[in-house]
Amino acid sequence: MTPADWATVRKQFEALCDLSTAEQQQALAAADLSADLRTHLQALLDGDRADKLREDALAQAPKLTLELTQDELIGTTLGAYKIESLAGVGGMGRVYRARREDGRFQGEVAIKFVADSANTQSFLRERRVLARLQHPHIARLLDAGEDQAGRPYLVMEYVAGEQIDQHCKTARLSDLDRIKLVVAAARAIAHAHELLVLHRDLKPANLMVSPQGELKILDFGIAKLLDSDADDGTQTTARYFTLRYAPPEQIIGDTVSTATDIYALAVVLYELISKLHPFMPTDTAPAELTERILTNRPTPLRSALRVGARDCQLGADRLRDLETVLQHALTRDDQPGYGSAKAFADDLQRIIDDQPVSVTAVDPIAAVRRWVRRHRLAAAALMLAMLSISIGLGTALWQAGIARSERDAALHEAARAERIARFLTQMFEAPRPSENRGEALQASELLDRGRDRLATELVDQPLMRAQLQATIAETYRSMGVYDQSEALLLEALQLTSQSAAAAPLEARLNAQLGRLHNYQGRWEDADQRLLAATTLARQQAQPQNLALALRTRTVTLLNQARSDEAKASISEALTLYRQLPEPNQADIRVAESLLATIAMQQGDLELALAAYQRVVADERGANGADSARLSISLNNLAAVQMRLNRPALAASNYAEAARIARLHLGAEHRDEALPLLGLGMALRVQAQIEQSLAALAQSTQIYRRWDGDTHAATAYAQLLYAETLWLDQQLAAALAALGSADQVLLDQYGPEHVYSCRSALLRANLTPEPEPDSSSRPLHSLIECLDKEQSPPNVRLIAAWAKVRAAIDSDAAAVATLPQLSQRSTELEPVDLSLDRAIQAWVRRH
Amino acid sequence: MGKDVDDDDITDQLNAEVAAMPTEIYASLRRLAQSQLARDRAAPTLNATALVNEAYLKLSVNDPNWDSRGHFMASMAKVMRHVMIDYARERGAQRRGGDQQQVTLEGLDHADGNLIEVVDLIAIDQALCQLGLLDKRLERTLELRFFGGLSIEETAKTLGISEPTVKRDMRTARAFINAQLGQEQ
Repeated sequence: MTPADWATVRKQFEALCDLSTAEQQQALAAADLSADLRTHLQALLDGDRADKLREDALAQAPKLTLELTQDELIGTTLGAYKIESLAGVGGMGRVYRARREDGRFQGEVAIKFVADSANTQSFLRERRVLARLQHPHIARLLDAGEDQAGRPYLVMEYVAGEQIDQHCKTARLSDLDRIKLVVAAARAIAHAHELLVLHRDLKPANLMVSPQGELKILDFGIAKLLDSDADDGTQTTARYFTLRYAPPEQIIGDTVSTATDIYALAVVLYELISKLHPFMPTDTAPAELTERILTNRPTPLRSALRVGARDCQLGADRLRDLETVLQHALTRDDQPGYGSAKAFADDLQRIIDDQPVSVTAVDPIAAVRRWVRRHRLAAAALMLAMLSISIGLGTALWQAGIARSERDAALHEAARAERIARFLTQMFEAPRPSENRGEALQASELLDRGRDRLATELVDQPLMRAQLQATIAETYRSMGVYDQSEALLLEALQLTSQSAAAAPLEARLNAQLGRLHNYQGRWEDADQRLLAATTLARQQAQPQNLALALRTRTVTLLNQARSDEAKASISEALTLYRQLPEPNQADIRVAESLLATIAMQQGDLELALAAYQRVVADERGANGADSARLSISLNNLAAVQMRLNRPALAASNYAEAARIARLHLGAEHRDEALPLLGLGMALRVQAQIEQSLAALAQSTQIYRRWDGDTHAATAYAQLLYAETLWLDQQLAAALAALGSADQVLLDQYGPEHVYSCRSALLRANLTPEPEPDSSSRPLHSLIECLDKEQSPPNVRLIAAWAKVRAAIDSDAAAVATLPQLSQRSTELEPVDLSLDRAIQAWVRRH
Repeated sequence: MGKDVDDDDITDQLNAEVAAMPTEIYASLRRLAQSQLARDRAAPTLNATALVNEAYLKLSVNDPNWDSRGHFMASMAKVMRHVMIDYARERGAQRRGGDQQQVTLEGLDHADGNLIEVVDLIAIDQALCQLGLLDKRLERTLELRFFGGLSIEETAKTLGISEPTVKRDMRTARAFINAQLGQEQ
């Protein structure tokens, strides 16, 4: 064939390959090809269907194992057994099917040979291991021996049947029955653990189910004897596990434990119920899987069922319990997990028996809080958040959004960085066995090592060295180790001044340093560095570096309340981004988001609205309706819509934002609290009190768990919740909900602030016998605040408060302000219906 | 970090360095491969992705700018292919008699985590060469994916084509190879 002919054949192939066989034949016959080409096309189509080379094997990074076949064994006799066929190829060697010939024991057995004499140690160990295990759900060891050539073999119970996942499909097992199977496996594993044996390679292929429905665990071939001191040279944990079912510690070569086996079983069960992998909600490239396992939390089972559009017959309670149990079992090293396989099995059995399980919903918050404290991330992020709260309801939400995304990204990055630091640094060093590495090193120590190596190894390559230093500095930063990051960056900058080769990096390093200072809250220093970065980048005509520096500086300026300069800065960055030969849509979206933020800060609501709508549409288009980033942009969009008095639209966007946060981060994650708060307000303004209360209650609860009772965010949520309860005439509940939020707000913001005034007013309204002036002072302060603000919903609110006070205590001062407030109110758009109704009712009663 | 840096000077410089490195890369990679294989004489394995990544880091071509990295990866995949074929041939030459040289493919991300796939690596390479005579891009695609262990996304970027195209190419290439392998039986 010539290349030209090939082109024709290929085109035809691509057109035909998805058709049915019959249709293909028809098309082939009708095609305008020479006989020769037609044969080739047919061969291609056959090749497409052939099983010889499986599609997934060819398409992924293969691991090549070079072995010898021993087909000469088939048909021969080995002791009392006659070898019939090759059953499969395992990690240690080949497995044959055989039959006992001497009449004493009828039936089939499996004979396992070691592949090479070097594996004898592990082989003998497996024999010792299996000899200890006697359990109905573990394939039994029947016999052992050596053949004439001196090769050792094991004779085991032959398990005919299907892998557990296949079996569940063909037998159409109910969800409950699937759980029962895994319980059986867990009990068998518990037995092994009691005898101090770890399996280490549990997966569906090793969980066989006979046609009678009996489960048997196979292949303890790489099992480990926990009490064995012998260090066989062939311990090869890092290679002989299956990535899909492996927990983080196994992947990075840490010590494995009973938890490793439990984890694997949890993944198996998860997949049996939801058809998805806990760390891959949709099909992901295999290379990503490692990173996801190492850094993500598993997708909650119920979300996976939704994503996979799979029905579950377990019922809501059992399903919730199963989700909890599985989350607990898919442990990471900052959570305790199940202590024993027996505990895991017991909880699963409880689900079957419809009993309450022993674990409560996983509390990631405590773990995360520890993380945050350890890594000192709070400071910088909170600074950004604080900026938001001073400006009232609408803006509070969007700017907290920025802080949120930075903080969340930082948290995620910190976990990711730690794992990657460890992983990377293992690469730096010479390959050696991953067992017995001694104490786990702190990630920062590993980074320190990497940093030191750089100094010695790359002495004469300043550019490389500076770049790698920048990389490590970035890792330090994301872990919150700011001083190290700064030191490295300064060092790298020195290199650039010493060596012409490294000069191109100078702009970028300055930008990186500026960004670091943002995190440290050192705004002036950041400004200085970033100005330097922009100057350099301009001089050297480096548009991407310039855009980065401008964008980072925008954040600095926003924090210094220099919004006009911020606007100029980000506008220029945006232009640059758009003009790049290969524009990065994600960067453009972030820049547009920042612009929208500024617009909102300057009161240009229509502009902000348009910008956020565009960002949302772009994000959806690029990453689909479930993209994680959408949560933030939808939240911000909704905030603008609230400011523009479109509560219905805002409500649906808030709800969507909350849904996405829950999908990606699990229930009760802090990122869901913010949109829920917004949702609560949006609903309240439309007089949908019941739903509003539900959202606000949930939001408050989340804030309390994440930030505690003395945090400003919690107090604010409490305020809104309490207000709404008051509107619904649930006075006792309102008082309880308010708690000490008013005190917190007072401490945080001082007596003149909107929030303090509102909460003080609410307190006064809820107190049966208020002091005479207790409401008028806050009321007046509030009115003053709001004169500066011009935010519509709040003014309505205040008018309502004033009316109430005036009505029930003939507060002269309040009465006096009524006309001017009423006038302002009537100028404005839709009413807070709930408030109006409540006020009417109240006034009537009094 | 992502694509923060657009330093044309750096790209040029690195490209020059990368282009100048082939013999060195090959030598380093061979050494790395040998050390990986030496870890278990009984069932020696080569993990393409790990190997290439290890080489990449060790050789300190750690540049977030994709272009030069992609270029690097492409050369790496070629080298990997040679290394693996060389090794298979070497092993084959060491055996005598009726023992047949087999290669097992273990895709760690197999749907069932299983690892039974016995194929003849040398035959695959030959089939791939045949394919290369007809369609260079298909050969390169398969080379990057199979020998270089690149993901679909990385392959698409390196070759400057879309991801669906990569998938389609893989399918066609596989069909071709199967057809070739089938003929030899």
